[in-house]
Amino acid sequence: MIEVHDITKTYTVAKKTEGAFSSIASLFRRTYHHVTALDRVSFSIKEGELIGYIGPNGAGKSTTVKILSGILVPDSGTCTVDGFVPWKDRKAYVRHIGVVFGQKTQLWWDLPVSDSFALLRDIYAIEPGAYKRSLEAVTELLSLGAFLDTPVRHLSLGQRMRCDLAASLLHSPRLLFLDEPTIGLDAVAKFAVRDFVRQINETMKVTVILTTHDMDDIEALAGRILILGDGRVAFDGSISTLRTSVPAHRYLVLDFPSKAEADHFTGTMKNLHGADLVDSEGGRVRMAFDPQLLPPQVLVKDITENHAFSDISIEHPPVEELIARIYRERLGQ
Amino acid sequence: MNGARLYWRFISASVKSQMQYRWSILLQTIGTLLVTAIEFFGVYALFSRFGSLKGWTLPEAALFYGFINTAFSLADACTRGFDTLSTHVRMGTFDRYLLRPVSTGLQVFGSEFTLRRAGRFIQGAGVFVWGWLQLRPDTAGAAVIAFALPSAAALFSGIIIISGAVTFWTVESMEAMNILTYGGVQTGMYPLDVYRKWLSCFFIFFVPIGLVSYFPICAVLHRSPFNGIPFWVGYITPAAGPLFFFVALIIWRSGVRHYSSTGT
Amino acid sequence: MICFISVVLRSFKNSLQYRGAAIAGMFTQVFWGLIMIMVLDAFFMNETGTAPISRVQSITYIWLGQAFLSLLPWSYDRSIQAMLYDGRIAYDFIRPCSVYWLWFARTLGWRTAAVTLRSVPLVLFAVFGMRLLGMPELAIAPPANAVQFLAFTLSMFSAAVLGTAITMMINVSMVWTVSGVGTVALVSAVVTLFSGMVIPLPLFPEWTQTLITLLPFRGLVDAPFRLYSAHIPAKYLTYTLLHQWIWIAVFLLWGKAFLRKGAKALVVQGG
Repeated sequence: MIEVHDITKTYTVAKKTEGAFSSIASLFRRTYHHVTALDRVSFSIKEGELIGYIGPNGAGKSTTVKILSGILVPDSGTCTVDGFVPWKDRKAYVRHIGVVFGQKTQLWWDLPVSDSFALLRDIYAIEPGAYKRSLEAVTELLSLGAFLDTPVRHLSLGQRMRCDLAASLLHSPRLLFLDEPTIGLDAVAKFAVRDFVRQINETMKVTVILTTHDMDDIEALAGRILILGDGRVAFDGSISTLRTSVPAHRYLVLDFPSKAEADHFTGTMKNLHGADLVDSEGGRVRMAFDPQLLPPQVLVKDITENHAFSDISIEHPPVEELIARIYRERLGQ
Repeated sequence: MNGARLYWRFISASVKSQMQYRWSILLQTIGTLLVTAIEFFGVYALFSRFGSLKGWTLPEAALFYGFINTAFSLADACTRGFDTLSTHVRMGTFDRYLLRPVSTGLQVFGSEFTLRRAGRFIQGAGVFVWGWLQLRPDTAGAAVIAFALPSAAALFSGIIIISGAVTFWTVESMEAMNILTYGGVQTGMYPLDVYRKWLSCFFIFFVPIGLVSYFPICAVLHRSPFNGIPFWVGYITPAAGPLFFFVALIIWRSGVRHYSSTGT
Repeated sequence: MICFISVVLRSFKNSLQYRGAAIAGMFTQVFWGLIMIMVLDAFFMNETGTAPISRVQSITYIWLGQAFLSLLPWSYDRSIQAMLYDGRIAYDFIRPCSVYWLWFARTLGWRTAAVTLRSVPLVLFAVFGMRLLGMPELAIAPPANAVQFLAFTLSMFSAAVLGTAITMMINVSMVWTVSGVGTVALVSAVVTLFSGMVIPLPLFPEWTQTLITLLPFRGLVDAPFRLYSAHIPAKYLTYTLLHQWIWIAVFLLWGKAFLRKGAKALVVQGG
């Protein structure tokens, strides 16, 4: 559905100078510097996928979204979405996409939600029948019925995000861009929004591209992740591929009945075949080990034979740690 | 005189921080200069059409116009802090003034000394000086102005303090108070005897802007302000300015007392 | 077109929410109008019949000026400023409509709402309030006749479009300086003076009259008001409308080109 090939985008930014006199001077002679936001980025996305698009600030995420939504023209490279080149024939193209920018609402602050919806109906020139069907569908899916007639300023952040999702779906787009949809929401609302996004993807068959900083969003939702760093694609694959492709350690967590026993255990750590102590707090001890060098069964056997503990568990490193590793190793940051 | 030293501290800190944005201050000064200058163009245009206004000439009108603008710009620069007071009262940030061992009025006075309105001052003073040079009044006239200008500034400050104090009760800032400040300036731009009687009475007996601007300028011009009133009355009337300021401070104090007893 | 009308209506409805502010602002306006009318009245006292506009026409002019104050393009559209500030403006670029006309519709709706809120009570005051306060000689006069009133209405509609087209220039300029303080101060000075809001344009000195006639700003309030009081006979309506619509076309083309440039600057912000 989306084919991006070798897209490059460089911004020319005028250097800011300080002081009154140098700013007069800068009116006549400006110094510029170039910022490469995207450097030969390529990827392809199939219909119906739910993609997590991640990267640190300034990595080029929003540049990509702007290019894919037709706002921005790249310097070079090709891009087709659903047969369209986004920045050519922008008006025809944008009928097929929906965009939600987290924390920025497209709804009219002082008007009831239904007014904003009616406005979008007119802006997208949606047929009355089609509008009725899609309004019913989104109202049902996102359970908006209770507050369709409430002015937006009275909605909670989570309710507003649901309405914003609905607003971007009214014209039945086949592709939906979600830019940080859970930012600023409380835990319950985040959970609900994730659930809605999954349903939009599954029941409405909408292809979703999700940019986020929240790794829980990614773990809960994305079947496939694209990691962007320094204007390049640093990783493209599923979370399980990410786990296996980045050589990573595991954590072993042990709980002891008392702090004294835990301290005794850490005192004898030297014998533990190269597992490193991460931290020890109260009766809980955390160790890191490389499963390639030290198979877990060997480590666990060794510990169970020599120490008494109350609980034991092995943890995967969190996704953000894997991503941080990708930045370090592949991009030399 | 610890208060005066403290006020000076506050003001120089405020000016220093504004000087970080010299460039924008300069542009805004030019902006306000133009905006206020168009008002005088209006006065000039009317005089060039009609010749005179109830016996007043353009240079005489320039004195009224220049005087009121200069006085107001002085007051406005010192009392910006009172303008934003309603926000402080609403957000509860006014409390921090009460925590300090200094009078609240002094702190609000010192919270901002704005340079951005310098355009009105330059324009007002310029028009006044032009009128003065055309008419060349006597030295007694200069003495009256030296007395009346700070009095008028005190009066306007008093009005702004009162509109600030009102927010202790109303919480919202009162748009209608603009009638007294900007409306007062507007009224004072022309001699007070051109208006209907009720309006001149309002600005003489209730909010005595006439006593600090119209009467003293009449004294400068040796002209009777109203039928049967001798011109020299204007030598005395500017005393109303400090008096009004004093009343405003009393209202301010009771406003602060109301605030700290109810905690709004 | 449906899209345009729909945005105008929504924006109109949204702006009607700010009734409180509009009514509070009216006090100041009534007061300013009263002051100006008394000053003009005093000027007319020793007038010998040579003034280019009559006393009653001037008084009516001032009252209408206060009633239609919100139509003047001396400020930007706050809703657009807020959207530029927090980035919500991005949504306007992903709609299947022209960004210029989206903004134009929004500003038109806001301006007409503001005028509706203020003009009705202000005119009522200028008719009845002045009589109740014992100043019938300073009240607004009725339109000269039905034909002049029709001409006034037509040119007032064009004035709303012209005012919006000029406001669009200020709106677009905010792409570069979001605070907009400098631009707005300068534009408001020019607009206020040359539209006739400081004093009626016919009272300006003779040497400025040619300039005033050519400038776009007399199409905002001056020309419609003079049609209202038959200072301009209705048979010259075509000239007034022509003047207004030529300038509307100029500002539309200019504003659209300006926005194209602005859009480029806008999308660069935030890589």
